[in-house]
Amino acid sequence: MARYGMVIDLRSCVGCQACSAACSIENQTPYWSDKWRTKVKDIQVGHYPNTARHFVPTICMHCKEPACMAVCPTKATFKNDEGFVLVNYDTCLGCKACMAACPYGARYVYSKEDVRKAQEIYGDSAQHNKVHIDKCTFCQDRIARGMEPACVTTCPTASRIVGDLDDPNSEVAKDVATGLAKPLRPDLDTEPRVYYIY
Amino acid sequence: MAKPMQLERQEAFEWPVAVYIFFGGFGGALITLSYIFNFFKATGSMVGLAALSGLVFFAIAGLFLVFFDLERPINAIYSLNNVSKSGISWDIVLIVLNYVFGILFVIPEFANISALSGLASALAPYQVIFGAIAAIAGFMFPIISGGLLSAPASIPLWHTPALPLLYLVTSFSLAIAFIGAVFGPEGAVYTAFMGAILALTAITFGISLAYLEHTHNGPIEAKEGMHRMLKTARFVILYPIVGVLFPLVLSAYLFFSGASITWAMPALAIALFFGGFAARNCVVNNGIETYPWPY
Repeated sequence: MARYGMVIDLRSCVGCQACSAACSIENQTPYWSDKWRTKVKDIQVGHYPNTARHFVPTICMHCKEPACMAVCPTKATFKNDEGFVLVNYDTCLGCKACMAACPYGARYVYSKEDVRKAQEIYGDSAQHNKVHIDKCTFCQDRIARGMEPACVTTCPTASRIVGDLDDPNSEVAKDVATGLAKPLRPDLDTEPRVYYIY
Repeated sequence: MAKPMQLERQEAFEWPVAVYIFFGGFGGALITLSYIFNFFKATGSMVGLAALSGLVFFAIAGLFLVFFDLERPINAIYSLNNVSKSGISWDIVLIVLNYVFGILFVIPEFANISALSGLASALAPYQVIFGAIAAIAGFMFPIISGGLLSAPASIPLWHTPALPLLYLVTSFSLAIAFIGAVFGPEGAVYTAFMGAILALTAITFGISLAYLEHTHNGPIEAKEGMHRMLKTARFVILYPIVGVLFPLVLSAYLFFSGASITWAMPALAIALFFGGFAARNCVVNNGIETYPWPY
């Protein structure tokens, strides 16, 4: 079974936020409340005249050792057979312990107001009918259909690539193996499956 | 080029979590103390009322958790799924144990109420066992609920064993002062109460210093969180001054001089109440995390 991972190249990200929009359309995330499964952080560093601007897209890292899963009281956060970290909307308690535990700020509350608004907008095709903690699913349904996640497909600069981390011939595996792509916060031992080139 | 980290306040926990941790710890400590009093054959009213007030404070904690924090409280029925790892699972188990066995423990104390006399006499032989279970659950609650905060490594201000320990000790010092204020003990009992408050407040002082050290020498997020707390007048006045130094000085004076002041116990209870709440609320409010920028 493929062990999918993602590499995000920050050198080419232009901060257009097309990934956020595509994700929101695909997964009906509550953009009206400014909640996103993938966010593009615009950070400015340095002091004049030595300043720089960087765009850093963040998503759930689908860690091998997810801090969010350990703290979940109902085991609503779980890993599926492919190792993706997912949330069972039916048993989620909404305690937000996973939000506090996640070092990558990848989670948010799909609140009662958001559910109401989603049903108003999407009607019978609404994907979120219950209050729950929401996060990136790595577009499970698209992966199952042999497609790439929406954020990857839509990226105009191809800054995001997806592939099998266990396949030494995949571009993703090569970037990781050569050390070009690195995980964020390796000190936390969460072993993310999303890597960054910067 | 300077590459500063971007520090942001955590968005998960708000003030209801502080209320929950505070009243849960306070209630748990009261129930544990009522069991200890019962063990040492203290008067029935002290045992019964201490346990009852503990249950009330526990109820306040539970209500805040259910109505202000949990998005779908009914799903708490699934919380036994992850008792081995989740602090919230343990909290819910402890609340239930504390409540069920706390009630079973306290009923025999009210055998003089005719409606309860039959049930009280039936439960009386098992009171020690019920009380022991409730007391252990009550003792564990501040530790486990403090652990709820100290678990996430992503928020270094919280990520220290000092927090559960601090919440345990401050819960018990407040509970002792509260019982002292309500029952107005005299003589040797008054001195024992004052000695206990002095000892616990001295431990609180020591833990607070260790916590300050942890934040001072810890990661930048912990330092920033403490910096923000220390810039808040409410925290500085309510915790170090009102909640620690005042009780420490007053209890030390009364314990070592053998003097007794009427207003001392209520004043200590009030000071420890506000200090204890500030210690929780300000820590929750100032949980700072860093987005894991590579820069």
